[in-house]
This record gives sequence, structure tokens and C-alpha cells, in this order.
Amino acid sequence: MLTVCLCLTFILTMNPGVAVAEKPIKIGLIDCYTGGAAAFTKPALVAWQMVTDEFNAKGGLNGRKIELITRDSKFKADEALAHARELVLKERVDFLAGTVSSSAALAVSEFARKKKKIFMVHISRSHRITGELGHKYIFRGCPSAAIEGMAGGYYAASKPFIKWYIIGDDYEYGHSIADNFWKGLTKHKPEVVMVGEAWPKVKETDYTPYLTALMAKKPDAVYAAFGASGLISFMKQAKLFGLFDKIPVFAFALADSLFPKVLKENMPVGAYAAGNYLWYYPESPANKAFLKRYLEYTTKLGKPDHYPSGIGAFGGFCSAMFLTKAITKAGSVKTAKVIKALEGLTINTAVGPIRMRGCDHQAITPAFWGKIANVPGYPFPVMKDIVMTPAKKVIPTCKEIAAARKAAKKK
Amino acid sequence: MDFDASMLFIQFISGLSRAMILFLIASGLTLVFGVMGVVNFAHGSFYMIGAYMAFTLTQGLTGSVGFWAALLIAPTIVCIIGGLVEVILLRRIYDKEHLLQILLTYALIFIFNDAIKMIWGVDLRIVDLPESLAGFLTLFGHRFPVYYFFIIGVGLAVALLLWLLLKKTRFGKLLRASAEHRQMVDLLGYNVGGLFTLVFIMATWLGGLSGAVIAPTVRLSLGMGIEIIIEAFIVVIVGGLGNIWGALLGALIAGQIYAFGILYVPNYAMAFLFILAAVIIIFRPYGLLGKQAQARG
Repeated sequence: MLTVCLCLTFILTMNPGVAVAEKPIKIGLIDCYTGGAAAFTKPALVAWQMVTDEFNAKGGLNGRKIELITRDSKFKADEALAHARELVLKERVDFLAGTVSSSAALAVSEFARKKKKIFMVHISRSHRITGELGHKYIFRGCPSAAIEGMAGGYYAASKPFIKWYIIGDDYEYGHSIADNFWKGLTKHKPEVVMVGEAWPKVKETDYTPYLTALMAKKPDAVYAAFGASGLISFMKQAKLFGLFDKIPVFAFALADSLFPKVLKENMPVGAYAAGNYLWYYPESPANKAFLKRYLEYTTKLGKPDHYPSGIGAFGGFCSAMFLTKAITKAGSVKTAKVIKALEGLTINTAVGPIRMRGCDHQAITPAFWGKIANVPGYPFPVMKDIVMTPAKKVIPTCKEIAAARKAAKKK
Repeated sequence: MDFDASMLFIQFISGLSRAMILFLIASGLTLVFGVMGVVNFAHGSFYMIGAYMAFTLTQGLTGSVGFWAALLIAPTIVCIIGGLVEVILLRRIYDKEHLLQILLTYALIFIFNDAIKMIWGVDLRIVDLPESLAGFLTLFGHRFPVYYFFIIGVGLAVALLLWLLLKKTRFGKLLRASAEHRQMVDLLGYNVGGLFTLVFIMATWLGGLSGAVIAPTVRLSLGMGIEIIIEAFIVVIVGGLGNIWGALLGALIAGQIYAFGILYVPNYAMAFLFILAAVIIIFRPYGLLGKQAQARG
């Protein structure tokens, strides 16, 4: 008996074919699962699980299945970096993915570059991630603030407002989306002027002094550049001031299903808003199929979600699709091969095909702008008069990206 | 910038409302330090629990009833938790070094955070305003929400009640006496231990009240206690650790610095507060209204 056992052990350890076939493909997902950001990171994780479960059910990569390993970065760049290190050096993950925080994404990105590991960004938006600080190993499956901010400027330029006030969270994302918005707006409407700007600290509790100062400047319109948790507090307090019936407010992410879910009747009806994905638009078979697929999966998890978040669920879905499709296409998990497969890869989504641009590794995504209104038949305020801004019109060109990267290297 | 008196006025009101938010939180903090000599880092957690309690109560009881019930019940539940914390934990470390107190109260932050995560989860939540306090007033052409006037009122009421309690009652005299000389009060036959429990219950009640009052203006999330506690600490330091009037003065100064900082140099509004704190620590380490040589164990 003992000899048989020994022989078996010998055979198993000596036969690399058997061992490799059983070894899972490991994806290390670093994100903030504890604070307010969990409103995005949890649905994003569900989307990753959905996509990788489907990948595994189809037999994986020649029998190799994907295993997701999650780590909580608590919205801190240094913690995210420590997890990235542990995931690569100890867990020996094949790919890194994450994060909701832009500064955490930049920290992990630098590490991924040094370790030559692919890092798939799925929520954070700072244009610098795939812009001037981009490199060979970083990809982003969700929109960038360059796309979304410029799209906002492009949309706002079609409205008659001249005097603008900008207020936003004083961190990477707030500045990035506001800068790009202003760039887009001035490009398409050079006569606009900025009458004031304010940058409250992240997680500010009380925006009253900002709101009184803002309203006293009597701008024609306000651009609000907040992350999720700041946007909720700001909208709530702005509503107390009756800001929305006095001054038009533009806010990017506000159309994401997260906000009406949390704000309910405090949702600022009349504000201009946008999202990268809307569960009610376009009313295409592809969108309906995605809704059904996501609802079925979340029902299986015991938490049915009828209104997937664009920033969370859709961003996670696209990123996971890009990575799994590239692995299948490359027929390998080797970094060089998967990079090659990812560049120029197109996935079919609920909003149409989305392509991963080869030159900067940025997914080319559309944005949807409109005005928040109470529309009969919907459970909460949604957008009306929706305009889709195709990314082609607003995204920085490959040439601009190359120049920005070159300039950043010189610094 | 053209001079506009009405704008200065509205910014002053804005600063006043912020001052009262800070004072509500700082009052409990400074009370515990003044009488017990304990720096309670976990005070923000009691504020957070108060806010989450207000959320649950306004969800359970719809309409304005829920809000008023929350204002009454949330601080009560919070101060019961506070009493338990004092009896079970804090009591054991009064005569130990300060480092232990900091470790203990800091550890409580994590414990309460995880408890809230277990009970309420990590989703962002908001508390609705009562109808009667929604809307805004128009003052000299500027809008200001009714609810912030309510916050200002609650802040002033708390200040007045604390003053009456400390200066006009026997209980207040005992508190001041034990703050000055604990052993002497003990020797005179008073139960100082029981007194401390009561003070901690009062302070956590104030923490819970501030949570319930501020909740309808913010979004609730884990860590909201820590977000605001640093500013409250600065207010307490500026005013003089342990001094209720100091906390009020510190809050009023901080609120106005903030409001006018935002009006004129919005990018550095926060910095002014920290600069003020630094100046105070260097030139008047015992705070504006603190006593120079307070003997503490």
C-alpha cells in the first residue's frame, strides 16, 4: 500500500501536465470594500464574479479556471500598494485589478509596471492613469475622466450658460473630471467664463459656507465634481438651499443608479446629469439581455439587483470581459501574449461595442447626458432627453497621449 | 471683490451654523476631559451611532414623528452604551497613564465601526428631514435652510443648559470640585466613581444628540465619526481643554474662519484653522479660556 502511495505521489509531482491543468488562473482584485465606496466596489465585484463564473463554466482556459482573490485597500493608496505586493509576491497572481480610488490605482500601476504584471483598472477615473502616467502594463476597462469630463463639456457647450462655478472634492478624481470638463467646454464654447471655484476637503461634513458663497456669486450654472459620497452630501445640502430651482447644476455620475437608490426623493430633479451606463437607455435587446443576465446572477446570490450601477457593475463587467476575452484569445496567461490580445480588442456590451484602444490601453466608452426628471412608470427620478456623446468626439488622440507621456517622463 | 453687506451676513450665518455643529460634538469631548481628564477619541463613534440610530428610527416611524422620536431616543440609547463603556472599561484606567486611555478609546473606534458594519452594513445612507423643518428662508436676497437655524438653536440650548448645570446646581459644583481635586471630593464622602459614570453618560448623550441632529444634513457612512472629530478636537484645543465656554468660543471662531476663508481664499480655508491651532499651541498651550496651571493626574 505504502509503495503504491509513494508511486502515486511521485507520478503526480513529476507530471507537469496534470499539475498545470489544475492550477487556477489567479486575478488579484484590490479595492475599498469598507467605506462609502463599497456602493460601487461591491456591484463591480459581483460583475467580476459573474463574468469569471461564466468563463469557468465554459471550461476556462483549457480546464484552468479563474480564481478571484480580493483585498480591501480601505481607500488608501499605501494599503492598496501593500496588497498588490503581497498578491504578486506571495499569492503569485497572474493579473491585478482594481481600484475605486484614483490615487490607489496610480500607486498599484507603478508597481505593476515594475513587476511587469497586467493591471486592469475598473472604476477609478483620473485621466492620468492611462494618460501621462500610462504604460505598457496598465489597461482601463471603464471610462476615464478625460472621456467623461470632455463629454460633459461638449454637452454643456450646447446649453446657453456663460458664467460657470466649479466645486468639487479636493482629490485626484475631482480635479481630473473638472479639468477635463472645463477643457471640453472651452474648446466647444470659448466665450464661457469661470466666476469662481471651490475645493472642499474630501468627506467634508458641512458644505453650507460653500453653498452660500457659491450662490452669492450668481453663476449661470454650476459644475459639481464630486466622488460618490461627497456628491450625496452636497446634493442633500444643496437641496436644502433650493439650489436646483435657482441655478442649473451639472454633475457627472449623478445619473448612476446608485444615487437615486440612496437619495430617493432628495434626488435633484432638474439637474443635468450623466452616466456611463443607464439601465433604461438605450432600450436595445443588448441592454435588456444584460439586465436579465445581471438580475439572474444577483438573484442567485440572494440580492437581486434590478438597476445595475454603471460605475460599479458595468465598469466591473467591461473590465472582466476584456481580461477574460483576452486570455481566451491569447490562449495563455503570459503577460506579453495577453497584452497583445487586449490591444484593439472589442467587446459587445449593453451600450454597443467597446474597443480597447491600442495606443493608450483605454476603453473607448460612450457617455449619456440628460436632465433628471420624474418620469411616470419609473421607481425613481431618471434622465430625460438623453444625448449620447460618442467617445470618438471627445477622447484625447493617440498623438496627444504620446506627447503627454513624453512630457511627464521629462519631469 | 465688490463689497456686499448681505453676502457677508449670509456667510456669517453659515459660519454660525458650522460653529454649532462643531460645538455640539466638542461639548461632549471637552466635558469628559474637563471632569475626568480623559481624552475620548471614541467620541466620534458615539456621534456616528447617534446618526445611525436616527436613520433606523426615521425608517421605522415615517413622517415627522420619526425625526422627533429619533431626537429623543437616539441619544438615550447612545448614552446607555456610553454608561456601559464607562463601567466596564474606562473605570479601570483612570489612575493609569494617558497612553492607556488613548489606546483604549482608540480601540473603541474600531470596535464600534465593526459593530455598525455588522448591524447596518456599508451602504451609504441618508436621513430624511421632517417636513416642518424642510425648505429655506430668504434673508436679504440670500437663501438659507430652515434646518440650519434649528441646528443653531439646539447648539445654543445645549450651551445654556450646560452652563446652568455647571454653575447653578449642586451637581455642577461637585463636578467642578472633582475636576479640580478628585481625592478631596472622594475624602469628603462623595461617590466620585458614580459621578464620573454620570458625566460620561452625559457626554455620550451629547454625542448621540449631535449625531441625530446632524444626520439629516449629511450622508451616513462608516468613518463619519473620524471625519469630524479632528475639527472638534481643534475647537477644544483652541478654546481650552475641558472648558465648555472655551469649546463654544473655539467653535464660533472656527466656524467664522471657515466661512470667510471660503469666501475670500477658498483653496486655503482649511489651512487657517490648523494655523490658528498651531499658534494657540505655541503661545497659549492651555487654550483661549483654559487655566494656565491645571493640576491633573
